[in-house]
Amino acid sequence: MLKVENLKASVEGKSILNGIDLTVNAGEVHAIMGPNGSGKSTLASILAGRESYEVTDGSITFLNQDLLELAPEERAREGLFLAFQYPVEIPGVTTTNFLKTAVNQIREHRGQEALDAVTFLKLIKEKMKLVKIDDSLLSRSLNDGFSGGEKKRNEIFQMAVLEPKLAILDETDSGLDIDALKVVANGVNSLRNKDNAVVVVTHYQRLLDYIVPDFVHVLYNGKIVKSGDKDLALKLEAKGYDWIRENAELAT
Amino acid sequence: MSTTEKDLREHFNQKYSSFRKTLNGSQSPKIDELREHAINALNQNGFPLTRDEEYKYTPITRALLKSFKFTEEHPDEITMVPPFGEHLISGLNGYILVFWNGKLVFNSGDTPKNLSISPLQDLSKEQQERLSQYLGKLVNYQLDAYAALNTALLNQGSVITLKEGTNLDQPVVIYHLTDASQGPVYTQTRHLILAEKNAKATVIEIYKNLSEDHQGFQNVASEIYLEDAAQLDLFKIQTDTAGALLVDNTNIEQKDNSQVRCHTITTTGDIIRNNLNISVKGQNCESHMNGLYLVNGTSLIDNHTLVDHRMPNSYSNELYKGIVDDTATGVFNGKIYVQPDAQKTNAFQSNKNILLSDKATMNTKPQLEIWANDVKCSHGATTGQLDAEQVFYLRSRGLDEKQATGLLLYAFATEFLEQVSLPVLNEYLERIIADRLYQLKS
Amino acid sequence: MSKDDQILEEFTSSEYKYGFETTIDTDSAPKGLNEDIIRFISAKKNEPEWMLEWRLNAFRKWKTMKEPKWPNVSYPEIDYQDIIYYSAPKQKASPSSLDEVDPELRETFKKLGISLEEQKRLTGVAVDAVMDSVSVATTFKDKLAELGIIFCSFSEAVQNHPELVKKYMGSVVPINDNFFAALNSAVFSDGSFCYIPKGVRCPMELSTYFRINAANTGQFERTLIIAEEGSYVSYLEGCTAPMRDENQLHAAIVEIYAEKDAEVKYSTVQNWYPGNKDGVGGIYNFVTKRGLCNGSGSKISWTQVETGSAITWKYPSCILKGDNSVGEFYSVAVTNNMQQADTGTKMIHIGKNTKSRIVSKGVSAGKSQNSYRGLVQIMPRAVNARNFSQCDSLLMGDKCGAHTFPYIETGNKSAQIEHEATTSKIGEDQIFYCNQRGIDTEDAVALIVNGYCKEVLNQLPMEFAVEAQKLLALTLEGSVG
Repeated sequence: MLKVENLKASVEGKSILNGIDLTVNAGEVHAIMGPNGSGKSTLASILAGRESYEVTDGSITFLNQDLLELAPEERAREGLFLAFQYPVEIPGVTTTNFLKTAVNQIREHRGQEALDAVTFLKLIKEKMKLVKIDDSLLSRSLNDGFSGGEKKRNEIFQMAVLEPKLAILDETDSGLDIDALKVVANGVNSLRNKDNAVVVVTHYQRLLDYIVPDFVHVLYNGKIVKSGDKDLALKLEAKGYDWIRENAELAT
Repeated sequence: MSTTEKDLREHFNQKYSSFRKTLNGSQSPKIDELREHAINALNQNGFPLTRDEEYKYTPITRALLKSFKFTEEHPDEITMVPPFGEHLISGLNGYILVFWNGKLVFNSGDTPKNLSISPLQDLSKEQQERLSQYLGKLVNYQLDAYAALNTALLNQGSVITLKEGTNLDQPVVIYHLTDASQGPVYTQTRHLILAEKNAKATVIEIYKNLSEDHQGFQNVASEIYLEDAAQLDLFKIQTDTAGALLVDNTNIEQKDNSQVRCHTITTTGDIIRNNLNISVKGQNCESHMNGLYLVNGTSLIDNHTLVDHRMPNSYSNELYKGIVDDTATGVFNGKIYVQPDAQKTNAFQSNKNILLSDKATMNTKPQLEIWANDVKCSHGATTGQLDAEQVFYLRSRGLDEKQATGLLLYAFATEFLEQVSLPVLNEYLERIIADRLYQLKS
Repeated sequence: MSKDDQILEEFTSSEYKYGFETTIDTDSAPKGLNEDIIRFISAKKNEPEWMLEWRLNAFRKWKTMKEPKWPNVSYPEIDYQDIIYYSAPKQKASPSSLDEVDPELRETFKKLGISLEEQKRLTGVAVDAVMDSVSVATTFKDKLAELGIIFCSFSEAVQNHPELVKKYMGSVVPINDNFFAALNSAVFSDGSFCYIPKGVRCPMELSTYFRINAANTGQFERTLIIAEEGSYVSYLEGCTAPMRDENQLHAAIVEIYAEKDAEVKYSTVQNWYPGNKDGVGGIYNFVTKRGLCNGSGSKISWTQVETGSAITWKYPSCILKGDNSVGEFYSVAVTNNMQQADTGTKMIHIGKNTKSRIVSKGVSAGKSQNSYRGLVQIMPRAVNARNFSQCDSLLMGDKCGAHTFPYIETGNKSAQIEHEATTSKIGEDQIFYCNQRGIDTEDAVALIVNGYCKEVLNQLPMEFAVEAQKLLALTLEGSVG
């Protein structure tokens, strides 16, 4: 589904990613872990198409297309979803209105008819249960005045509505208490199936107790320095990132 | 027969002609030319009346006309040094200049090598020639008639140069003293401050009106150039200016990484008009404008400020606060311009006012003009009374209403002092504010 | 929700879709302005002597006045002698029923989405349609008359209700109020008149559609709304014009008179032709709108969505004379390409406990200049006056300008005045967020701008709100590359 090869990227001339290789197949859950500044969020942003990063080398293929050639909205319409680490506030635009616009543009892209108000509302009500969000959230301005937890839940709610093929969760666990974390994880798990994939970007292991990954990759200095199964995450938790640092420095 | 605006202009034209004769060719032709341009601009535009947008709320020209007495003007010559000592702020040490009725009567001299202070009127032709690239370049005599008048009669004043890397140990203190006990006094004073790269200094200007027997009119203009990374703290202290008519035009130009902090406090005066214009011509500059006006009796105090962002990545912040009592009037006009090249500008402005009397008036006009899109600019203005809830809270703790009000007003006003770091000055101003606000008639 | 949906669906064409011209015979005065032209207009309208005198008086005042130069707009000198001051579609003097209205005319208004047909009854909007200089049709007169409401063209009011016209015309906007008001007072040709009797709540929205059609003509209409004690009316105004290379002058007056406890809501969606991308053509919209809250507890609320006109010069104002009266001003002004807008409001607090609220949202794009200019004045006897103002500007692109000129004059210590203003650009991260959810940039901009303007759009009646949202999107189309 997703193939990243030798990806190098920089921001304002400063090199952040130094050759990433990553393959994600349908049905898989990958976790990308790493200390602060290792390039985790940069990778997530580049996949979604944020313009402030410059890709200097390498390629990304998504569903047999050159992802780097696509505009951000085209990537989204193809089924790539980014749950933002810091969801932006858009005053005056309700969550419902926003989502309806998004859903119908994606449907149009797929050659499907736009949903009418009733069907759309039904869809929304159904998905709301997944992440236990309140009705009132729908009529409030998008993320405006939401608490940290509400914002993150709203991201997963949008994921549920848009049904992406590849979902990238960028530090979705940060700022969540344990109850909210469970709600978010349950939401993600219930959306998993054999046709879609999830990439979880996180600093801590705890989210992986709930969203169990098939593969764990450790990112350090813009490179994946170690890959393994879910036990790698546990090992990392126990030994800390210093262990990776030492290993990485030994390797160079 | 009442005096008209035209009479006023004619008077100053005569004054200009006779002044030119006294110069007798001693001047750089460039400076001569500047004066000539300025008098022409004055004649063309005339003195501003209240139909002039910039002087809409400030009838200073009318006030000048009302009591203007051409013939009785106090003679220009000062034969003996007047006893100015008692009017200096005790404990405020520094490099001191005293202007008495517009004439420099004292210069403490003895400056370190990295500081030069020269009386404007003593400059040689060559020095004038050299400074002509600065003089008249910031003070806009086309836009403001009082700036034009000051430029036409440009003679008395000072040139202050801070050499590269200077970090002055003491402030430069300039006193503008007006004594109209013997007859009306009309003065024009001009300063030029050049802060070279990395220079750091404090300049304090103190305005005093010593007698209300006759009219005292001060017209002061300054041009201040801050080179790369220069830092200046500039004070305007107008707390002993009862009965004065005063126009101050201060114009500052900033280059890359420079910082300026202006503090203007006015507590007395018949009509006082301050124009503070900052032109940000460098990147990563900081411009702070800090103002306080406590207006009572029949005073009118007007602060017009302009920060003109011409280059990207700079920051300006302005806070002006006022308390207006009796039949007094406060005026505030704060302009922020962000020119097309000044992307990533952050500019903030706030004007807060409290009215204490039914007859008090506050006219405020916070003005934003933005031609660049990637900017963060905001302004806020409030006018009102003290928070009744706060007054009640203090009363419930045993203060009487007058004490409670005084305390809250004092707290409101002393935000100004938070940015005044010089202890002597801080104490001096605090006493003035406290005296004023605790003695409120209510 | 369906509102927003509709805008996105219809947000397709970037043409000024009201730019067609109706070919219809007109009856016009010769170009130019003098007392004879005024006599001509007055005679055409078969006016009583007092009306002619009033006009001539205004004309004499106008001749002594100068065009205001203080607005933050620039345009070539207007030659007031090169304008046709009266142009009327040729038709029967006064159609007794809609069937008698020229079919071409009815077609025009149909194209504008204003059906004058009776079935419009279902939507509950009574319409007065003004083409060039005259009112061509007013619907629902009879139904309104049952309640004692008078809703008719201004000319009819002069004929049929002279006592009301005489009493109120010029009482809020005096003939010498300003240059353009004096001009209008001299040459106004028609407009709407509305009278709501004591205690009556007008059961439907009243609406006037203004249309400039003929070339070289100025449009000078006048609206007068009188709300008697305890009455209520919501009034809508819409405007469109054909695309022409020349500039056309529109100098209108709206006067609102509100008695004790009366409430008037006046909403405008102004979409005069703005000129082309290079600033050729477009309407000069120089309008005086003012409401007088004469009685205690009265309320006047202005809502405007300004997307059209080459130049807009307009300050819908409230004079809060009655104690406890309330004035409101909600404005969205969008400028694109070479448009210039200088708009805002005046809130004059005279009575005790008067309150006013100003919400202004400016959006500038292209090479346009957008200014908010406002006055909040608290007179010495206005005890406990309150004002809150919020003036925000949004900049799209780096060739446009946003300006705010708020004048706040406080003459009473018990006043509480708060003014806030911000200027910012449309957030790149907001657009990216929308993109990431599959929404393209142009739609994202429409969505974000509509969100930004929501507080104002919410004030509009439903039908107008939809129209307004569509207009915002259309006006800004192509402004973000």
